[in-house]
Amino acid sequence: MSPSDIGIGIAGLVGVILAVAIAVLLITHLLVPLFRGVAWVIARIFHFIIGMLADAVRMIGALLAMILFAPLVLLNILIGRWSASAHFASSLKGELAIAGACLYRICLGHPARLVGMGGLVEGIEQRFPQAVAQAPSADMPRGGKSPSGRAGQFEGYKIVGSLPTGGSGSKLYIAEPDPIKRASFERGGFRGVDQVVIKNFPVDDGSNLPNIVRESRALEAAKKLGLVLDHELSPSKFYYVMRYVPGQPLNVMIQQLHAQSDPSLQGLDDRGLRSTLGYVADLVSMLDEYHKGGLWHKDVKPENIIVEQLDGRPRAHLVDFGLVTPLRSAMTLTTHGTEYFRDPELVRLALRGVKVHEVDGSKFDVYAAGAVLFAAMENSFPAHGVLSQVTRRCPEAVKWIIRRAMADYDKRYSSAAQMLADLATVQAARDPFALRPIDLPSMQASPVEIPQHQPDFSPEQHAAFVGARANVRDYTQAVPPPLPADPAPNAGAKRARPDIRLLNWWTGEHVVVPEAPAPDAAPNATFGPWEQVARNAGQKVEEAVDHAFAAAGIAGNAVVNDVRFRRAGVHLRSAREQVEAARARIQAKREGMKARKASCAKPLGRYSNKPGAGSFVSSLIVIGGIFFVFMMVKGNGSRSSSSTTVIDARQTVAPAPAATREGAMETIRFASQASEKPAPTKYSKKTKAASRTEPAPVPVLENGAKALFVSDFPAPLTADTRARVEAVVERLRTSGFELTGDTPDAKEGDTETVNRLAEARVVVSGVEVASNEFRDRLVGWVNEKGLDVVVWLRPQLDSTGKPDVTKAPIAYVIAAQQASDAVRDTARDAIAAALRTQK
Amino acid sequence: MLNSLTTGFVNRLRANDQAAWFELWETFGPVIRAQLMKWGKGRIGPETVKDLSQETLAALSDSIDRYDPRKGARFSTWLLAIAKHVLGDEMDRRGALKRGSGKKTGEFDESWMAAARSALGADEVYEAAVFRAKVEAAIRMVQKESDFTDFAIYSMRVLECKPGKEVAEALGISEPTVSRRLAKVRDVLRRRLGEVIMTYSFTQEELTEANRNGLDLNPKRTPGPDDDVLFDDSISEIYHRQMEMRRAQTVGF
Repeated sequence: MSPSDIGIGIAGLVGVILAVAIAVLLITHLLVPLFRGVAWVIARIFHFIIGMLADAVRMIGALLAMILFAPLVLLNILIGRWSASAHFASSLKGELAIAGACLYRICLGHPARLVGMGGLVEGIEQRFPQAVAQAPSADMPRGGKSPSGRAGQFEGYKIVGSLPTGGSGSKLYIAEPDPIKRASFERGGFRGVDQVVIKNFPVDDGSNLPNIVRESRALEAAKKLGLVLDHELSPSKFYYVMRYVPGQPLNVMIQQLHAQSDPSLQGLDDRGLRSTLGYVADLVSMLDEYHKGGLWHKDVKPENIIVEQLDGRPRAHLVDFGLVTPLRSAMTLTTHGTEYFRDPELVRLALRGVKVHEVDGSKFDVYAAGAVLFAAMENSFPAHGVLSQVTRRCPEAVKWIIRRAMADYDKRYSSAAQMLADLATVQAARDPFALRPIDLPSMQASPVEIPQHQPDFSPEQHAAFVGARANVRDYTQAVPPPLPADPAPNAGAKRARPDIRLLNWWTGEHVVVPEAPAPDAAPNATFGPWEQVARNAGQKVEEAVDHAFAAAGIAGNAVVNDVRFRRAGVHLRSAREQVEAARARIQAKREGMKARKASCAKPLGRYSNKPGAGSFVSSLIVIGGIFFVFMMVKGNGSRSSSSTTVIDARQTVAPAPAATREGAMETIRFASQASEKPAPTKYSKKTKAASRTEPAPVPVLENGAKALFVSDFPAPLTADTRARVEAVVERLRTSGFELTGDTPDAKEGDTETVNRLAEARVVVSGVEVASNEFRDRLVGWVNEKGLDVVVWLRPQLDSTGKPDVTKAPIAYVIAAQQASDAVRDTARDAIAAALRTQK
Repeated sequence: MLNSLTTGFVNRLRANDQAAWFELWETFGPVIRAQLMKWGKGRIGPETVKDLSQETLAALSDSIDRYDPRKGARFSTWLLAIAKHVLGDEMDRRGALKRGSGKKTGEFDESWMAAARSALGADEVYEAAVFRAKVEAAIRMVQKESDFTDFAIYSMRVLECKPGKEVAEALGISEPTVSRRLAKVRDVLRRRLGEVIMTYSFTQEELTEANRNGLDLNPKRTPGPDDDVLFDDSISEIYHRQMEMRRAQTVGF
């Protein structure tokens, strides 16, 4: 083998090795990513297809269900089953929501994710529903139709909206205080309260006694701190009033900040980081105020932190004081709170039955603040508790703060102020990512200056409740006092009665001597550093006063007393001064009440005697009712003859003849002339015409009728009587009656007529005229003779029983059974018309 | 074979010791929730998962007296069976409530479980999660027991996988100090892990799970540097897997 062959062989070998190496490189750097990319694309397409198919099927199912539900809703409305209809309507609404969601995913969600634009729909799918769910609504208190309609439920407040309710069964309303309430708020040091939140506990709608007791026990303390502006607690109602903070909850803000950050950063950008640190610093600062005021919030979570834009600067506020508990409470710890933001140690202690005052409750708020900071950085829950790991972009110092805040009870920050100092250091750092945990104040050995926070309440309140205790703790304390291993040994010990030192036996003046420390008790077992200082100061004051007493030598000396009480912070007043002051206070209260009443009357219009809308509606209802009754009565009178109507004849404009029908007989007379004292005319059941004020036209019979006319007027007839009789006869003939009998024009010698008249008189002889028998006999006779009607005209009788021809006669119309009503009515009307004209 | 720790724990449960129940809930609750969420995916919501996991523990409290480890059943498997029936009851109840579904109350339908079965099978995945929960419980115990800074160093170094030099710079200490404090916490963790596994393991097979997962708990043998690295890596991997499971839960919630 020649050297050249060897060289070629070596070159070939090198070439092969190089080719293999290049191939390996190609495979590892090109083909593998390529295949991964293809697999990624295939997986996306597969997810897209599966998602589209599943949503399409689900949407069809929802539509089918809607088609089934719709007729059920309508059917139940038709048959009046409202509850069932509402039930089916609710189901229909649920199906509609499902169909809408499926349609949205088919049209937008799945295509956007297919092309890698999942972030595009995050806002619609996550942030938008959250914001809608938490938006104030127009929901009103139960039974209320309008805000003004419920003005009386919360006196001094006008409800303008509502907020989503929590888990305590309470209702949250947004309200506007009236001028009086605003003035009272301002007197209390709360200025600019335009809107408030009323947390109401309706006993008949979801609230129960334990909730009310729990929420009410820290009210007074919360009120002193300015957290609660007003409250009312009575057997029938319980509500309290807080300042309304318009804004978005922190969880929504966190999501927005993460969405606004550059996705390549895998976390918050610098602006979002600083905003978040500001929110959490506000939160911790407020918690510090709480703790210094002796309270413990117990339900710190992002949903309870509202971010408000205040003068262009976002400011976080802690809301919802439902679980606020005094730190020195003697109650047993409870497990209330929100998972992930509640220290698991709290649950363990609560299960052991530890009392609130046996632990430092502020540390549980510190844990929750750390959890909130974690949630802000990670945009997720701290599901691992203390082991939760921040995987997103976050400065190491902030991670350390989270770790320290969520550490075990004995190892975490001893106070919110200590955590606030660390947060303030990170905020102040030019580059938070360059800040190391060792640079944080809590890791330093020197005391730390705590940044001052502007409280929500007035400076006076701040000084009164917070300032006295501020900045006296040693924040370098590395390890806080340990938890009680067992129930506290002094848990059952009773507090000693205060020592009262009497100053004047006659007046009863006395002072309460500060409690001396028990010789066997640990110096700091119960009191903090500030209380120890105050107690020592009190002892020194007492000693100085005692010396002054000894120097004066006279008990009860006014000068000594004055010195003593001035030094002890007590101003003594004489009895006269006290009485005068009390009177002045009472007078001031009376004037205040008068002013309140006077101002309540006009501007608000509550409890006014003036007719309002309710009065107007009530009046309409009453008037309508009366009109309805009148119309009913009138309708019955005109349509039915079943009722008996009494009409005073004197009310008629023209004298009208009264007609009475009894069976087949009509009695016609002028009631006004029947007697001096006109008696009411009684109409029988079958009377159709009650009374007439105008003469009606007399109808004419088409087929005619046979009538017998009988007159009881004594002969010879007077002119008036004759005229009346002729008028009646004439009118009857005009109406179509074929008249025979005692007519003025009757021919003498007409035996048939005479006989018939005689028969008629014989039939009723001995019978009282107008009686039932009179009627029955004549009816039978008329039927027998083939007549249609008998008209019997009789004069009225005077008081002596003689005929009085000066009065209008009485006419009786007796119709045969076969005669129609028209015949009888026509005869009656004709006689009535004739008598009316002859009156 | 039961050891004294296991027997004591079961006895505490049977005596209705609230702390023991909370401990059990803290350890196994997330695993049960994850399993219920997997089974009921698309059928039940997060709030229902919470309710069902609590119902599972309530059912367990009713039947804890009947548990007999001598029959060979793992405690975790037994717990899973209870959770399975609780979920089954819920699904049946929903099926019965739906009008026209054709299902009657009390009809046990497990077809929905088959759809959620993963490649390893529900039992294997579940048992792995249970083991991870035990490791997490041990880490929690160590966190309580250790000095804050010591555990912070361990957390940064092992759980967050930061280099020793970076940890030393962040805390202003030397690297040997970091190593020394790390070793201190690791030793405590080995001991506590052994105790936790002894407490929550009811069969011989469960006792050997630690070795199978790269965690050497033999206290008699002095561990070398390689063993420590392997132990830390195993802890880190288990911790991150557990975090993934929790993260999936929080997304669901």
